Amino acid sequence: MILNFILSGFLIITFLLVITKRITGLIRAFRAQSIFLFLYTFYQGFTQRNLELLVICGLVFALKALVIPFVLLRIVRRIKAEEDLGLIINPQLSLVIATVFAYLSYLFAHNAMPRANSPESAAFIASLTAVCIGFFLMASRMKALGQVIGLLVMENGIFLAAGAIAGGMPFFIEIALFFDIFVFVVIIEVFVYKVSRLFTHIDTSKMKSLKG
Amino acid sequence: MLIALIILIPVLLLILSPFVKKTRTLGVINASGYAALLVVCVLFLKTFLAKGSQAVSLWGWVYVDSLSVFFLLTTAVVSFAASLYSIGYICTEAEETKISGRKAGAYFQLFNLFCFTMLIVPLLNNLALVWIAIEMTTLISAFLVGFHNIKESIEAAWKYIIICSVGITFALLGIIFFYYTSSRDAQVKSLEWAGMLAGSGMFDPKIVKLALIFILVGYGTKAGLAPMHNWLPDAHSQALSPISGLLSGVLLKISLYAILRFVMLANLSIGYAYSARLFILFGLVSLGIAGAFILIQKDLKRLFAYSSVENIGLVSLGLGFGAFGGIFAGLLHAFNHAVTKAFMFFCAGEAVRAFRSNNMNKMQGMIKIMPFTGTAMFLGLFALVGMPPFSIFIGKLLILIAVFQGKYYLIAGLTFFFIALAFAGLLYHVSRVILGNAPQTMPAQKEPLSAKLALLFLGIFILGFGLKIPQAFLHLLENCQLLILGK
Amino acid sequence: MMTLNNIILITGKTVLLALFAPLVSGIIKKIKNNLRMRKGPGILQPYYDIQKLFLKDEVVSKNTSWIFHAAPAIVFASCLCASFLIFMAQPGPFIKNDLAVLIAAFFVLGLGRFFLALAGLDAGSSFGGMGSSREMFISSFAEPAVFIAVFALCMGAGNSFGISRLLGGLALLMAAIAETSRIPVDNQETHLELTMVHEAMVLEYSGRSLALIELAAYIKQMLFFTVLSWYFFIPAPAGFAIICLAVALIEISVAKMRLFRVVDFLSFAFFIALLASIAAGAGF
Repeated sequence: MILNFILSGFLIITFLLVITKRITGLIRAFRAQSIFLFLYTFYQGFTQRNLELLVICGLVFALKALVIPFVLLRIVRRIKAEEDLGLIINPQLSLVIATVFAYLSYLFAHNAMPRANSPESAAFIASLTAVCIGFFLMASRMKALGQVIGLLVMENGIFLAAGAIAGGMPFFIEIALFFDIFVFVVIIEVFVYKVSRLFTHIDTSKMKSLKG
Repeated sequence: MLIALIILIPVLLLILSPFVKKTRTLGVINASGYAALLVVCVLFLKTFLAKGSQAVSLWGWVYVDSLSVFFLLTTAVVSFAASLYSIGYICTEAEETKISGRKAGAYFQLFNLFCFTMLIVPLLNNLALVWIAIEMTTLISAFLVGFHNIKESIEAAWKYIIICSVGITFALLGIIFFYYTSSRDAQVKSLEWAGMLAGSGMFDPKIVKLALIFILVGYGTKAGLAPMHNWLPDAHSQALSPISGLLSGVLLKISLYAILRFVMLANLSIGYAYSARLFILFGLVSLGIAGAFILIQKDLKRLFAYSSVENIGLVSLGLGFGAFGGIFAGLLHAFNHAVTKAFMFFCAGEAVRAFRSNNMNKMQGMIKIMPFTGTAMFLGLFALVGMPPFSIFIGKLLILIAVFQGKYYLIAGLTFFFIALAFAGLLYHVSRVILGNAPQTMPAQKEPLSAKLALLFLGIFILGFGLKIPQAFLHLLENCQLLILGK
Repeated sequence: MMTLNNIILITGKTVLLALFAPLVSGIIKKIKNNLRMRKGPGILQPYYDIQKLFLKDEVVSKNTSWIFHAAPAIVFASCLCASFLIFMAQPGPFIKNDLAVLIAAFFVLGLGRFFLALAGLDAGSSFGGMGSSREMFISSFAEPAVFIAVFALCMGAGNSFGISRLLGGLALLMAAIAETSRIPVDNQETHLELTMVHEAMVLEYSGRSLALIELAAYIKQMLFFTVLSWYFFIPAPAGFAIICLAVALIEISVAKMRLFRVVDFLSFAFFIALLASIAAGAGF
């Protein structure tokens, strides 16, 4: 039952991501999604009495719910970017697409997983939906930060998928992945500053000097 | 022991580089380091073959088999040439005050970091760590792509970092699927190579098939397979020329290495036909798209970048016809292309520096302005389009033979057509650059000595491998072929 | 089967619902005021209001037609009728068979709304027309969400606190907020020209007619809360308490949206409901 609450929350936040029109709103939604991810990992670790999972859930919270949103919000503050995300596809159509993604993920999981009705299967569907929606966010948001958050959402989805179908990756690998995400965010920060300084905006749809 | 040296040399160079103030000295130290690395790699190849090509597993972290050695060797050759070429390139850039002394130092640090991440990829035992190392190559080389801090290069770096990260995120999903089936069906709860290889017979075929698609799309983005190649021309054209050579020569192949690892697992569990079909599909699409774009290019470095897409497509096609000797041909072509493309990018770097432009309409008469580079580029062009007696000819021929032996005449026809497109485009564009009328006001230019040396070094491989491939190398390739086919 | 017993039971429930409906509204108001550190009116205030309105004379515009006079009765009757229908459904594992009844109930509510909107236009005042058009605009997005949420409820029968129930419950709650004209879609407490929706539509009414309309609105709110409490198999009183608290919390913690943002809000509810029905179909 608790798992159902967590997964529903995760799904709702994932859907909330596609109708968010502002950068800060998107960052906050990402934070909320990460918190649900933390809760999921915590629940798994707690019920299985697995210390490694508990350590990992602590890292999820520290990195994805605290550090990364903080860094992203700091970028927004420093470059004084416009709040508007620049939606290429309006929220209603985005929701249609997100629902289609959810349904496709369900079909996919239904075919790939043997026990179709288990909580793991539900988590797997939610995670695939998050991966698809993250990808969709990257493709349909003009602002550079929207793309970054789309990628992080994909990462969240994959993390959940790992937890759902494989019971989490080996401990050491998870740590290395966190390190990788951290480095990614730091480097992205550097590049967003460079982009905003050179272009005076962070709108990737206006970056068109390279073609062909 | 030798493996430890391979890892240590770039690290040592990295630690050393902040202490050397003079750019030229730093470059020379760097190049000699990579020369040592190359020697170590060749020695390692010798001992490896002498021990009967047994896979070496060290400290639980390192796993080296024939495939690793092959990619290690490719990386070592091209990175030595690039480090040699960098000396003159960076010094000239510094003299022309395009970059400051501090930035020149930063260049060598990033160069070493980049080479380090690429060198450890074939060595790592754990497939997830391979993933992380490949992601690191993206993140580090993004700085080298955006090195000039101008609009175009930052745009290219941004596209590069975002597209490749997305691609590689899909690959991670594929890895998780592999992990899922290996932990559920084969009870192997780790991503270490030996364990997964042993358990691969028990993998769930359905999941392996799905996972392989994610892996191919994911790493394929990084390997430059169309239609995920969009980042490639931008990054290659905006990167510094030695780095363009490294990107095209090594980075793409390193991703191919990661793909091959998973294909090996898949072959053992579901047989060769499935991955072959995927390889052929991606290969043909890459060939077609690259052929079309090569014809309409105006930018010299973008032209070579699309040629890389074309060649990666050919390699992929070769891997798809593995049952007919295509893997041997594909890997041989991968090595030849790495060497030749690095050669061409170095030539292009000199040309771009002389003409201060990438636009081929403004670059004419190379051979009058820079006789050495012009001649080299002319010969390199013949090598690149696949004329005998240069090495690429053999690779292409073997790939086509494999396609014909498979009796896929339609595919063979298409391949011929696309190769002909690329042939015509490259020949037309580049020969105009080399032979056209030089601008009157343009004085003759001199290349730095190190650039000449780097070109000569690569030239030996281009011509040498065209005339006779060393026995040891052939042996290595045959071993790779057996490994991938799972025999 | 409709036995006499059943009919008496359902009638009793409906009467009880109508009696307690204003109280629930009063409780929500009280919770809101307490959360805002205000004293506010007592929880029985809605009863006093209705009593007062019943005793007052009516003022009717000269331009009105029969629709204006008939509308309050129709609205009130439709609400009662809907509550009859809703109580015919059986919450619990067998609700799957009662989808038709529930859908009918919400359609009957729609009939009431239709006449109310007509009445708003009837008097010819500018506010009435504006309110009607906004009401129809909002409900055209809210009603699909309600239907799909109810559909998910019936499909996912016997699965309390499953994912489909949680998602569907959220969707219905969002739609209910819109239907009962609460923040962030509408605001019951103000008569601000620029933002009011429901209040603008009934602005022309006074006296007994207004009392009927208000009572109907209370009943409609109760109907939504009843169905919401079914989502989780919570017994009605406890369910009402939780929902009251939730609604009050939402109302004091968010700001009212611009009208065009409401579209996003309600389409979000719609798609969450759709997701809930997918989940219900998959058995989660």
